[in-house]
Amino acid sequence: MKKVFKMKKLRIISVCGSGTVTSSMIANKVKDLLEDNGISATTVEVNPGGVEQLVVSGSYDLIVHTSPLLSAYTIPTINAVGFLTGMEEEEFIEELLKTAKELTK
Amino acid sequence: MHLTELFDENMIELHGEYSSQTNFFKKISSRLQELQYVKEEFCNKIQEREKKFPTGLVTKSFDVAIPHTDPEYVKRSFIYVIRLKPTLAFCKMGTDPMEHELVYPKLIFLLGVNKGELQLTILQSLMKLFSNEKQMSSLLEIKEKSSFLQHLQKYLSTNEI
Repeated sequence: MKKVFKMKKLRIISVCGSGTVTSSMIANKVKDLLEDNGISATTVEVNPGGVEQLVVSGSYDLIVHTSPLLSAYTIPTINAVGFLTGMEEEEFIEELLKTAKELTK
Repeated sequence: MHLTELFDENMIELHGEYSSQTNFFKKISSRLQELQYVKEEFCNKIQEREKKFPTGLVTKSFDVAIPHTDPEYVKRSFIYVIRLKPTLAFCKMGTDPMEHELVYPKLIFLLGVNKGELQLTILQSLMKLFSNEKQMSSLLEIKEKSSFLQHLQKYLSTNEI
């Protein structure tokens, strides 16, 4: 029997103060990292005010952020500042991969 | 536009001494306004943004900060570099300012960008610089403005993204 390999796509919200700059940088790095680990991902970049609406839509799995978030959300959130500077990069990668694997189970 | 064109010897301070963060933003903003780089609202806008979305960063070498605001308050793009002594407290990027998670930057790169795309290039290059311990320690030690500028430009031009 032929085995069909189905890869789940993760939908990620990337958040920074402007919703453009830092969030794009993080989004690109996150996509690359996940791809290297066999997980496909799409991202959307927003500022903190835009998060609620996206979460409510129910079509997103995870939030990565470099600015403070406005409230607590029902999907996992990971602070990505360490991933920008390379400080605490290992911790971020570990948490991201762990969460991503959990979500794509 | 090349990244190295964003720096100017007039916008490098190797002995920045300010009594508070407010004092710091006021003085730098009025200097930038004199030099025709920013609009009048810049001073308030950059402080408002720093309060909501702090920009203090911990690096492998020492703390830095990259305060900035929206392109609409910037007339010409620039990077103003201040070496602080004594340092000032900044809130850590990504944290809620109400939690007062502080960092103490020795170097501040105050960014003024009037095109969003350029901002990403700047950010990527700066992050690369921040993770280079050798380059960072040189930036603390250099005594002359001109060599500080040369050093920065040389590093950034060989690391074009």
